Amino acid sequence: MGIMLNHRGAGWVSTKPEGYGGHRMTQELRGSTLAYLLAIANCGLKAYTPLGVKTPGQVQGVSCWLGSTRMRDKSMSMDDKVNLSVATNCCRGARALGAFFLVVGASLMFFSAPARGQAAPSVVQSDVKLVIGGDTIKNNSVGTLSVVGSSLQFASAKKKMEVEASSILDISTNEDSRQNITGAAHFATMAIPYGGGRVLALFSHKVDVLTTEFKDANGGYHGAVFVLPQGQAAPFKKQLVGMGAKASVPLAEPAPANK
Amino acid sequence: MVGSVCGQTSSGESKSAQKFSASSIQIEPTDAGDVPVPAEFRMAVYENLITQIEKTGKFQHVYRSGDKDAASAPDLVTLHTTAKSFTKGSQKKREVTTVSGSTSLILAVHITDHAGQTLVDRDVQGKVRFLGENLRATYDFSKKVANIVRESF
Repeated sequence: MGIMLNHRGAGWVSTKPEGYGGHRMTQELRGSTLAYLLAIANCGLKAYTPLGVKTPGQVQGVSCWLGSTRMRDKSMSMDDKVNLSVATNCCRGARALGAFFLVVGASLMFFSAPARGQAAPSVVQSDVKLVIGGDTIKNNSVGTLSVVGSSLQFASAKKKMEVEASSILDISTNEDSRQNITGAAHFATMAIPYGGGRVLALFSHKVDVLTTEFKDANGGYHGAVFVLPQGQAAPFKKQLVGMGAKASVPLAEPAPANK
Repeated sequence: MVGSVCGQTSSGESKSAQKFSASSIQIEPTDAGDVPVPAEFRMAVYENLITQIEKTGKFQHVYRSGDKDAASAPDLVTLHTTAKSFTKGSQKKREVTTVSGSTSLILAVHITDHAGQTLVDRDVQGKVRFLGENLRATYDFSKKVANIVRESF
């Protein structure tokens, strides 16, 4: 009777195959850790035989536990016969250790998941225009604005900028309007005869303007202006102020409903 | 006030002909004073100024306000802007009527040396009359300031 423990078979592989997401690998590793701990606990249980018969287990006392950790790439066979009293004492300890690691492993598996990954963005808005102030990002780039962890993040198709909430000196919101027809199409409308292009200029939509003033690591003062769909700037301001950003104008409370 | 806008000095023509030399400049944020200039306009003026002054190539370093490295610069000059007037127009009005709805801002531009002596003192107007968004007035303003810097340094 023997226990075959193969670490590779249990999935204890720390190399990262190509195309493997970090999260998936972590999950597999976590699963394999549990499988490994179960096997150790199993080893302890099988080795402990109160009836006094010959016990399958590793020879020489504590090596039952140590042996399984040493031999990473080998299949371990535990067919050696041991002295009953030594094996009993050893394997009681192994059982306790196995149970302990089982509990620790399970708690790691179930309770550490939110802390491992990056915090999910709490406020997200796509189709935001960075009008000005993105150091490495071109002016008028369109991207996604979000509050991730404790910072304001703007990600365009190619680049990303991040401002820590605590470094924001002032944050303000304002309303404005933008033409529905912009860019090359706007120039094309100018060719419409009898002032038709001017009529098209009447079509516009309201937008929110979010302005942030912040300091970089060197103390340099920066400003960034974002244009968001109407009503979307206030949640960003509220969230960032809650995280330590300063605002010279407090966030307006919603007007009480008239009854 | 408008008569002294852009290209004229408040304190005489002789200063505009004078050339100064400095290896670095620090840009200070716009002081709105009593003029109700929206935050996005103040920030756009500041950021556009940094971009346009860098483009002039007259200075080895263009420092932002508060930059710790600026303290060690030997011949640093500082650019201050103070709001004098601001009129927010409407893009819709501009494009429909072509005669109304222009956005205009006038700011006093001071460039001082490390001793605090004024080198340049002018009022500069930025405006958008027909095409473009209101914030384009800040771009127009900073282009004019960059031209002044080219003339003065």
